[in-house]
Amino acid sequence: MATILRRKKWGIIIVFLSPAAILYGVLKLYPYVRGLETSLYRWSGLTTTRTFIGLGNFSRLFNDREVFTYLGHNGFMFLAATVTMILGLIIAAILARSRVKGKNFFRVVFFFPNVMSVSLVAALWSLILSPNFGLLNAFLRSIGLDSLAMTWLGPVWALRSVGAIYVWAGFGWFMLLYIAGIQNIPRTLYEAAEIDGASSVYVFFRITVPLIWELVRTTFVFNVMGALNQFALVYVIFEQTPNPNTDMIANYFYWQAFTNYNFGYAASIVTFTFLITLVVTILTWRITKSQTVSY
Amino acid sequence: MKRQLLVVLILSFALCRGFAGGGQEAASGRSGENLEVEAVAWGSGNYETWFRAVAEEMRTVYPQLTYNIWSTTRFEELQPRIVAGDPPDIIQGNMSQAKQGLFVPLDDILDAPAYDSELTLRETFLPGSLDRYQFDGKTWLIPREPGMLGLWYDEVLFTRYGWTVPETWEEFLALCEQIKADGQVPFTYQGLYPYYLEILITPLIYKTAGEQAFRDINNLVPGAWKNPDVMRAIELAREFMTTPGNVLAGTEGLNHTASQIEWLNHSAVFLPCGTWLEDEMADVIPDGFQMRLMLVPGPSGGKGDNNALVTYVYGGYGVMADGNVEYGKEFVRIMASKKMAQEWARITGMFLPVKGGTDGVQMTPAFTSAHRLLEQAETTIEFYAHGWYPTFRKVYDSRIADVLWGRMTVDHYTDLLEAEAARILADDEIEKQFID
Repeated sequence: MATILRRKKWGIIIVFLSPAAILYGVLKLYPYVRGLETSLYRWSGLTTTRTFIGLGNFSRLFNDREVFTYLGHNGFMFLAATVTMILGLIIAAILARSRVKGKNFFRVVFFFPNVMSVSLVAALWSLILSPNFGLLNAFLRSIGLDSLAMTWLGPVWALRSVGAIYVWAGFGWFMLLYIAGIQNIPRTLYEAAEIDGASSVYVFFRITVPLIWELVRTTFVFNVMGALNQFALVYVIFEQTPNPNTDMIANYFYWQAFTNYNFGYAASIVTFTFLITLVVTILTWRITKSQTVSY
Repeated sequence: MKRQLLVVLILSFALCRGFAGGGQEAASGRSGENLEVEAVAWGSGNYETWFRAVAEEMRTVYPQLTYNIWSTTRFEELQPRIVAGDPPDIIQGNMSQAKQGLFVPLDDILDAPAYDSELTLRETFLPGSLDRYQFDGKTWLIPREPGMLGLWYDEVLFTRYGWTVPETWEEFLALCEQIKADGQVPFTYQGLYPYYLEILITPLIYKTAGEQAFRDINNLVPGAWKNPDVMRAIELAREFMTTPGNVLAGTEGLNHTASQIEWLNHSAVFLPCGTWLEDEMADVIPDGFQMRLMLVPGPSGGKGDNNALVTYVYGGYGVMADGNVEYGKEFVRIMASKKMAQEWARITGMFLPVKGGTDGVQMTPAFTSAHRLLEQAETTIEFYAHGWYPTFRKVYDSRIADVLWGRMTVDHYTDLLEAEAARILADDEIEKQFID
């Protein structure tokens, strides 16, 4: 009887998990496998004719300076993503526990950019950063800081501007996650620290961060993956024009596939990026491992 | 358990069949006589409007057909269907795609009577306009509207300040000094898209270095970019751009809309662009603004024809090999008719290279100024290598602002171009093209 019940349970589990598993397999795993397979071919992407070249695309990739230039830009975005995370954590620590008036209002305002699509964010900031029409330079000029009114999307500042936009658009999400984590920490711990005369900074580093470390660690891994996946912000702001100052590895893949009609090589770029993401993610996970603090 | 597993397997099969089988179902829908014509316009609403007009004209001849007309600016939207063997019937393409077998040759309709003329269709095109679409002795595409490229200005400003259109590079530089003395800024461009600077550089190279040097550049001849006259032309442009006050502050951060609006607001006098500018900015051109096109003049003593006009053609329209070839060719034949060319001119204010294509159409003064330059030009020039080789175009476009703003030396820039030209020449996988 118990065996029959166990079998029925597994059957029900399979039935209910299968649609999601199949969708995941078809929409996620299958493209990965086909992408890897495509990277072994010379293929324009315009016809069904392909030529098997083995690791030829990867050999070319390792001699392609542009790949490493653009990966460098992704590295910069990783720094921006880290700033996003830290900013979210600090603001979460302030809003979660303080008695600041209007903190719900601030939560909404800080989170608001996350409900905007990437295209909208890019279009909005293209206007704000416009050198002559834009809000930012107009504000700087209005307070007598003309010398700080830069060409924010020009070659010198473009990558930094993209990083700043990323921080603006992203920190609200981290803030919300960390607020939820901090609110799960028992108040008694903070009260005890307050009684012992601990400063806010001490409480932040010795109580808050350790007790939400698993959450921080997880979001850090998301950061790594997000930084290596950057595409849309640059694509929309600079409208697919190859830009050596801001292009990410994904923009380069896109150009190779859809402008240079070199699908096989583009697939090798994606495969290479996937492998880097996997290795860096695993390393990040291991490096950030620490003893779990329970309460 | 076995029953549940069977249900899962059936569901899985159905899902996979649904994902994988879509293309085949579309293909089987086209078996037998194909009575649908699907044509994809490229670009703004005007292009689709024109395609619909062509479809309406074709409907009078073939009322039994259905017409599916839509537009896109993303070739990648079409790629999955092309690879699946179920493409639209008529799309805009280029010769790289034609050489990969995407299109069918059009010589049978080109050598047959045109839709509304006793001439053959080939004879109704302006001389030379089909040349770039020929390969292997066949013609694969019909041309889209050629763009004429140069420096646009507002004639009202010239009248107000008593400026005259310069005929040499030296006169142009002197005019820019006069413009600055009159409190205006000479130049702006679409800073976020530095390839617009090609409109400044290409004629300057041709007019400074001459026909042979320009041909060598297009034919990837080793050392072509190290020709002293070619390098001098780039240096002339660099000197112009780096002279204080010549270029509107903040230009490098402007996209095409912002820079064009700045120009319409008289923030700058000259803007490099093509004949699509008027149509693109139609909704925001201020009343009284008199758009006119000017050639980029060459230096005195230059080796090239100083009246040469830069033209640029954005690919052409072709009939897809896996599409409805029979009726697709008919659609193209009607597209290339004088009647439809006139309709195009009426809708967009631009012209197709078809004889009589603007007869009876009131063209705008802006377009007329451009067309006059075309009629006066004994030479039209096009930077072919820029269009033929995407990787070359990438190197050229991505660094052109750096060299013209002085962040990179002309020597280094031409080294990069030489290296890429050599790499393309050495790569047997890249189809090379040459001009005579």
